[in-house]
Amino acid sequence: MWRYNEGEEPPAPFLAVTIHHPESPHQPIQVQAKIDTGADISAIPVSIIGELGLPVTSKLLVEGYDGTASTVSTYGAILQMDQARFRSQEFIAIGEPHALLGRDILNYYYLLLNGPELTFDLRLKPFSE
Amino acid sequence: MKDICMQKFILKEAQEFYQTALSDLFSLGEVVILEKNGQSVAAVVPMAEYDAFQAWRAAEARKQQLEAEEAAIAREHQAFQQMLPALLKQYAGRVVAIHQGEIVAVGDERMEVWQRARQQTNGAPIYVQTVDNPTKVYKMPHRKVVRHVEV
Repeated sequence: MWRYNEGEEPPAPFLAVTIHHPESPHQPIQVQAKIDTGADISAIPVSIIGELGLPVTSKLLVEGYDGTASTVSTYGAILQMDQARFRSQEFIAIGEPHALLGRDILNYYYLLLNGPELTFDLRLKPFSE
Repeated sequence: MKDICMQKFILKEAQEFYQTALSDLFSLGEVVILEKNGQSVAAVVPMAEYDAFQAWRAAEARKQQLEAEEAAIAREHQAFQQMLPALLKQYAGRVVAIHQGEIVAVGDERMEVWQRARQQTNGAPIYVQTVDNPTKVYKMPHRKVVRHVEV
């Protein structure tokens, strides 16, 4: 169980994740990540891409909130978060100090958002177990 | 900009003298220029400045590498777009890896194909793409709301 980040207005669910280079995962960087169920793909801060020297893997068409699509680069990385270390996968870059966890990752989890109490839970197994 | 304290040190005295004088200079955190026959041949800088320089140099190297990779991937992306009609006939729905305009690996999982191609080419920039028509558009409605902005 985690608490929402109350520094955000309105408060938002954040948790710490670790980003590794896909080919030399010995110098990971930890960063706060915001849970974003509206995002099809996860994103990591552009500063981490530079710091870890993450490899460019492709180009994708990404559509923003206003419906405008643009071609952006994707970067290979390994993401580790509570209970799971993901195999290499692709991320796009964002100019924010935090990462975004999109549904490409969240769909592996059971997610319970308790807005009134500003807490959330994220598990690989159903909450009933 | 911070002024840099600098001293010149002529390389002709005895070894022992250097040790004494340098230890004094290092304690002041100054840059020492070493001269030989009137020519500056080296600079001795405080360790903190050297570490900062090394970090800057590593960051510049990473930046240049990333720019080169971005350019290579942009070229491969163009090659992919040109090859797409032919690729759709042979690899529809599959993932292809492209290096220097050529298909170097085919599979079903993007990063698995990327890693396989990367090993084959000794770490060269590799472009992976799913052979789809139309191209998939990823939704990213993220927008940070900036509050308390005075207009």
